[in-house]
Formats: sequence, C-alpha cells, structure tokens
Amino acid sequence: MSDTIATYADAVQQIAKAEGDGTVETQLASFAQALQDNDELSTTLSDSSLPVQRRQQVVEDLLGGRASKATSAVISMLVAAGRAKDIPAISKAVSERGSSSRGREYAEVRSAVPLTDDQTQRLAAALKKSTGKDVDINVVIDKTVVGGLVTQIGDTVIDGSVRSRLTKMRDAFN
Amino acid sequence: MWTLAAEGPNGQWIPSDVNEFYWGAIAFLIVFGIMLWKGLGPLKEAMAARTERIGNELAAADNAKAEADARRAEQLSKIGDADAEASQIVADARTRAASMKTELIAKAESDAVAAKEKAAIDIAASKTQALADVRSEVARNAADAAEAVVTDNLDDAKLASLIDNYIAEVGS
Repeated sequence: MSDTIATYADAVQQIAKAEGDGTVETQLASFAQALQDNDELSTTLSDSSLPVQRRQQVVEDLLGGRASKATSAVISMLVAAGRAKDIPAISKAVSERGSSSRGREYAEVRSAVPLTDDQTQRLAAALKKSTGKDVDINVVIDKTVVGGLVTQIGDTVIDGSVRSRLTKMRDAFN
Repeated sequence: MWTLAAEGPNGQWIPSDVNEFYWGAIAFLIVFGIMLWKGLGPLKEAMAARTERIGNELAAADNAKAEADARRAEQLSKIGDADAEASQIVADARTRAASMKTELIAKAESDAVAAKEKAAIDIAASKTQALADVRSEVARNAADAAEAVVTDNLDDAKLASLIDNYIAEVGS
C-alpha cells in the first residue's frame, strides 16, 4: 500500500468514524465494487480531460439518494482529486482500519458469484474458527475466480478457486 | 737520278761537271749530317716514345682482356649461382605448395566435419524445439478444452457447492 493510499484511507476512516454507523465504509465498498465491475465507469471518472464538475455530476447521478451525504461527499472528493482508480484500494484500506478499530479481522473474499447471507455467515464462522478472531467479510465479485473463493486476511491468502486449480492443471500439462 | 745521269752530256752517271758532283755531294753530306745531328735524337726519342706508348697500349689491352675474362668468368659463375638459386627457389616453392595443399585439405576436411557436426546439433535442437512447441501447443489446447468443459458445467448449484466445500475446508 502506497503512502498516498494510506493517507486518503486515514482521512476517509476519520469521516467514517465520525459518521459512526459504518455506512460510509459499507457504501464505499459497494461503490468500489461497482468501479471494478464497470471499466467504462472507472475510465470516465478517471478521465482528466473531463471537467471535474462533470465527473462529480456522474457520481451524484449514480449515487442519487442511494448513499449517504457523507459517502457521496467522500467519493466526490476522491474523484475530484483524480483518485477514482484508487477507490478500490482506498476502500479496502478503510475497511481494514475499520475492522481493526473494532477489534476484528478484515477479510476480502473474491467470488465469481455473490454469496448468500447464509454462506457469508458460515464463512465468517469458519474464518473465526481458523483465525480465532471475529471477521468482517467484504465480498468482491471477480469473474476470473471462475468458481470457489479466494480469501485474503492480512497477508494470508486462502485460495480455493477454480482458477487456481485450472492454473495448476496448465502447469502440470506443461 | 738515273734518268738525269743517263741524259748527261758525258753519258756517265755523274754530272758532266765533276765539281758540281763533289759540291753537291758535300752539300748533301752537310745537310745529311745536320739532319742526323739535329733530327736523329728526337727521332729516336719519338720512336722510343711511340714504342713505349704502343707497349703500354698493348699492356693495357692485355689488362683489359684479362679483366674482361675475369668479368666473364665472374658472370658465368653468377649465372651458375643464379641457376642454382632459381632451382632452389623452385624447389622451395614446390615444397611449400605441397605443404599448403596438405594443410588446406586438412583444414577443409576439418571444416567439413565441424559443419556436419554443427548441422547435426542444429537439426537436433530444431527437432527438440519443434517437439517442445508441439507439446506446448497440445498442452495449451488441452488446458483450454478442459477449462471450457469446467466453466461450461459450472451451474449455480455447482458454484454454490464449491463455495460450501470451501467454507467447510476453512472451518475444518
């Protein structure tokens, strides 16, 4: 994580902490997921040739009444600062800091399909059993996973994806 | 003189006037004596000088002839040496040519062997690379096919099952 990302994450974390209910953290994660899923949106918000006001208007149009004012302001500020492409990394850093401040572990789970609430709860329980700590799970939809899950907690990666098995199969063929 | 005497008036070989004869004889002797007195020495000297000069010229000619003979002998000797040297040069050239021929043949044979070995190595390397390329291509195609089969058969139930199995493994 670069110093710039960490600095922005600290600033957003302070705003999220001031809001108190974790809404900013959750909604920022959702917006980061939307950016990762939509290359056109990511490119548009990162296009420095577009006026800042135009890019911020796109954010306002997207979020509308679906996000809090604090979340909208944070995302608008990041876009205006030319950090649209860094939003996923900033969101992850904010979530890690939020979990840490609550005495919990943060786990980013990559999956080809969304997890049901039951699956999320069972995964959290399984990770707690494995790590000994309560775990906040952020599911990131990533089609390259193909199937299964990839969980990253801190520096530990638990890769149970079909992609990794296919990669091993390719290596075995070669 | 005989004609003059014959035509003399007295029919003798001496003039008719004997005194004329005597005086003529005396005058002749005087003149002859003066000539001998004044001319014999220089004449002898001239003759001696001429004799000496001719002798010198003959000696010089002899020397020149001897020198020419010596030069001729020397030239003949040199010609003989040149012939021997030429023969030696030709012989050396033949020897060197023969040696170079042997060396060139040996080098050509060596180069041919090396080229043959290199060609064999290149062929083997190309063959190995071709086999590796084919194997890689086959492996890639097989992997693509296997991946296509896997992804095509991943329906919602199987995706959910994969997630459930993952959760079970993490929790175990």
